[in-house]
Amino acid sequence: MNKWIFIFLATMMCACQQEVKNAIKVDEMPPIYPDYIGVTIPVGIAPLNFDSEEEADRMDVFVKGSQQGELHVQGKYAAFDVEDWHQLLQANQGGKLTFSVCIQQKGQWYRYQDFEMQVSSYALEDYGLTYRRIAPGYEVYSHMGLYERELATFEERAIIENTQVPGMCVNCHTPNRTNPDAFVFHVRGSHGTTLVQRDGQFEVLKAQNDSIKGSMVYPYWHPSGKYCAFSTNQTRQGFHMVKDERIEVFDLSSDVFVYDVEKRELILDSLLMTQSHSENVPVFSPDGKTIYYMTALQQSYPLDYKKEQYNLCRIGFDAEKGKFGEKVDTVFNAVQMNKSLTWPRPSYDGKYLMFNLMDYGYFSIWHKESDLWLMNLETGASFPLEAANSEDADSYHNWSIGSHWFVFTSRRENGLYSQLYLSCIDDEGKPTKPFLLPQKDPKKYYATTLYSFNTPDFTSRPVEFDSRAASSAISSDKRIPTSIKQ
Amino acid sequence: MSKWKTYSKWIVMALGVVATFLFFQLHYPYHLLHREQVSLFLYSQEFILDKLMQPGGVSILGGEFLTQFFYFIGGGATVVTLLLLGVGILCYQALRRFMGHWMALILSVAVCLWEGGRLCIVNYPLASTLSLMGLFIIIRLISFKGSNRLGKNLTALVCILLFIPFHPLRGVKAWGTPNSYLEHLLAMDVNASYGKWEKVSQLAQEDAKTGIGTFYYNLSNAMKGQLPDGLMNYYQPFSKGLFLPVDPSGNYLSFMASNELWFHLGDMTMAEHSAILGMISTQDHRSVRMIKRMAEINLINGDEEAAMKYLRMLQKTWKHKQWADQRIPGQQSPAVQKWLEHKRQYIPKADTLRASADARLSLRHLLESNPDNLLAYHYLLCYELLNKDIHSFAKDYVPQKGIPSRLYHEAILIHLIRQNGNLTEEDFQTYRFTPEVLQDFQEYTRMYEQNQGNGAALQSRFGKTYWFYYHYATMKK
Repeated sequence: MNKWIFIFLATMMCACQQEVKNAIKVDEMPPIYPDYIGVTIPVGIAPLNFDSEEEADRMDVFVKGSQQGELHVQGKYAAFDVEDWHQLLQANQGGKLTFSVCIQQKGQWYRYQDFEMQVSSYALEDYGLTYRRIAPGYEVYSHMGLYERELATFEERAIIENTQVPGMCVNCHTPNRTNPDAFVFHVRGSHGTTLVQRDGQFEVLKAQNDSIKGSMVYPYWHPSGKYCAFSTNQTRQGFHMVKDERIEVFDLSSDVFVYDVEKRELILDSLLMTQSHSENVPVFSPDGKTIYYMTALQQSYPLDYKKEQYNLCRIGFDAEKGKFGEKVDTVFNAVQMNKSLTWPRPSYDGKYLMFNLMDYGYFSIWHKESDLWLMNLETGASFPLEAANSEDADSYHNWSIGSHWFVFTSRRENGLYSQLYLSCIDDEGKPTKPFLLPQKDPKKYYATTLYSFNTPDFTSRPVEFDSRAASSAISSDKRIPTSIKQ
Repeated sequence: MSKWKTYSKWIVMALGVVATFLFFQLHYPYHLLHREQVSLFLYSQEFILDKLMQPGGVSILGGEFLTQFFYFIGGGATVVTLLLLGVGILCYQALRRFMGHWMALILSVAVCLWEGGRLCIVNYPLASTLSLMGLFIIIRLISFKGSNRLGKNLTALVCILLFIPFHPLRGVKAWGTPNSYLEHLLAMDVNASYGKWEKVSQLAQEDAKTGIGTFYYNLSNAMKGQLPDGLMNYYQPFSKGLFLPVDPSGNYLSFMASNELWFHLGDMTMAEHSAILGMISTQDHRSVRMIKRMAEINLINGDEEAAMKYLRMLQKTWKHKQWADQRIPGQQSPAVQKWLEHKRQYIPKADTLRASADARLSLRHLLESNPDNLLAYHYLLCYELLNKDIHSFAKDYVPQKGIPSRLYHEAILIHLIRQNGNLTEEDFQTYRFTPEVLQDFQEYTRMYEQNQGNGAALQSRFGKTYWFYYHYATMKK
């Protein structure tokens, strides 16, 4: 019996594989989707499966490691075995992989030029990514959620979906330096709240405090986990008449404050709550002694929305006393460049600060001109990450814990749906060509999805979260009030 | 079995088939046509495997496959009739293992009526009906008492895996009945999507004073170039009958309806916004109708990559493949090219920012980009008139534009009299009032003063004039 099963399986295998015969040589790089030609990847990443850009009968791909190992796959698209792929990457860390691609179209094989992928010597230590998936429109939140994706495989699971609490819009999931033991996310809609989870216990906070103008919106944890910086925003959404930018988000006002997680107190300071300026998107430096935030002169909205331009500022913070410093410094003067800075994100090793630069406003995802920039915090020099940027909106970046890898969103593929890209920064601050988040069948996945990815971040391990209990707590009217530190 | 028993089965089946087909074809067709519009079946290996791999995959795949046939006139009624016939036969055969002919027949008819009621629910998935059929097959197999019981039980197990979803299917309710109001609304919606404005207009006339009925009444009139002429002949809940909200208070039907209006007006940002919301708010978060619309919007905008995303999806459908092929950039038919050129004339050239509810700003901007956009022009004027904003109306009204409308004459008379106290020679030359409107205005004013503002006396003769609306229309809370 076993013999027959073996013969059957062997016959099936032979039937599935075809010999590449009489291939016509094409003096070009293979037309593959996603464009993984020349990208740099970390050890441990899921297989970078790819497909032919055009309709094809089959693909035959041979991969050879510069140090050792090889893989051969043939099929409708190039789909690598997860374990074999990881072994190959492990064996070639710091080296490169060479891909020989043949594509069969209408029965004829074509052999293209070989291409390479670099296997970075910098490890990507984090377990996975968290992100929000939402349709590219923001006023109604019919179907969206926060998800977690393991980087080594194609496994994705929902952290929370808004089908669990109808009408809810979940905002960016923010862990403390990629550690999901502490995370926070904001919920908009009729069940608005800020949910804070620490060591497996979550709290559902009252969305607004009378002493601040809006709710607790853009968060960032203090490295100690005792504090979380927030902005409080009176956010409005407008629609452009012409198609290039589509949606604009602006704040009638915004301020910055720090939330003492243990005492449930808001620490306010007049320097961060000025009438004349909008202070926004605060982040702690890795040593926790400085808060970077962006600030713009208040404009008359929506009339003068194009005059809204943000600079990067900083203020000291004493974690022992829970007090702000007494002066504010401008770190990057974007207004002088007739630009607007947004989404500052310091690397966890303290060397860099990544931000977006665009023409105006701060909601970068609909700004085609939005690019990623890097500031060297030791020298103060800033420069665009040209190898990572595209003609379309590149934004919403976050660092991995090792501070060499970063994830960001880009609309480079079709201008409408944002996707996740990963790139690496070397010791000189030079980025590599980014690669699209791998999927098992990438062409099918990205061609048929009707959702955008946004607010991505790394997570060092799977997020443990009781979404059912959280949904029930969000649906209830019970909210924990916060107080103001006197 | 006696002859009478055999005949009774055939008579019940024949009556059931005829009644079901006639009901769904004549009384309930738009529910089924609409269901096809909010589905998407792709002929791709991955799509089919994805469906099959789910518990109850055969039911899910089969249900979505059959929904495609709802596109055709009579297709939906035929599919539903055949499915109910299948339910009836399988149910009868399963029950006959446990009971006599008459009881099995009565219970089978009851099950068919119950399932038929559920099929009247707008988003009821056909997968649920197929699962029910699978359930009866399983019951029959399990109750088999022959020699090969192991084989039958294994087949039953396979049937369970193939037909029975282990989680509740979305949209499945225990009980359903026909919803005539929704059928009427869907009739307007589906005909609007086909561009059958005469039919929409006719259906809207039968509507029972609902906001969405007024919306379709106004839209169909506007598409026929008769928006101002018909405005006062119908229930008008101020400007809410012109524009439906594209905000959390809406639902997927109102978003899709809004999409139709914004698309025809030329505001592609709002059209795209409402199309995306319409699609995402449907039960399966997919809609072939909205995907086609988003392909059109991006083609008009010149965003070919975004358009290709949708066209590639449509190329994997059966009924919409040809439509997509004709619109692929570089392969567009002359008719499509001409249509695109025409639509591109209406899109705004300059940018501004507005809230989604700020219809007036959108309309003014559309007109600044293209003063010949008569649809936007009439919507702007009617929007102002319904909000009793005579001052803005007078500023935006261009007497030389389009065919003179009695509505606009009535409104401008209010403005001129309020401003100057009487009409000048220049006013007569500018506005070219007809003698009838001037006579009626004098008579209305006389009666209004005579009756000291009592509207009841004016209603029979002037109830459908703007003067009456201006004086007496109040918003219901």
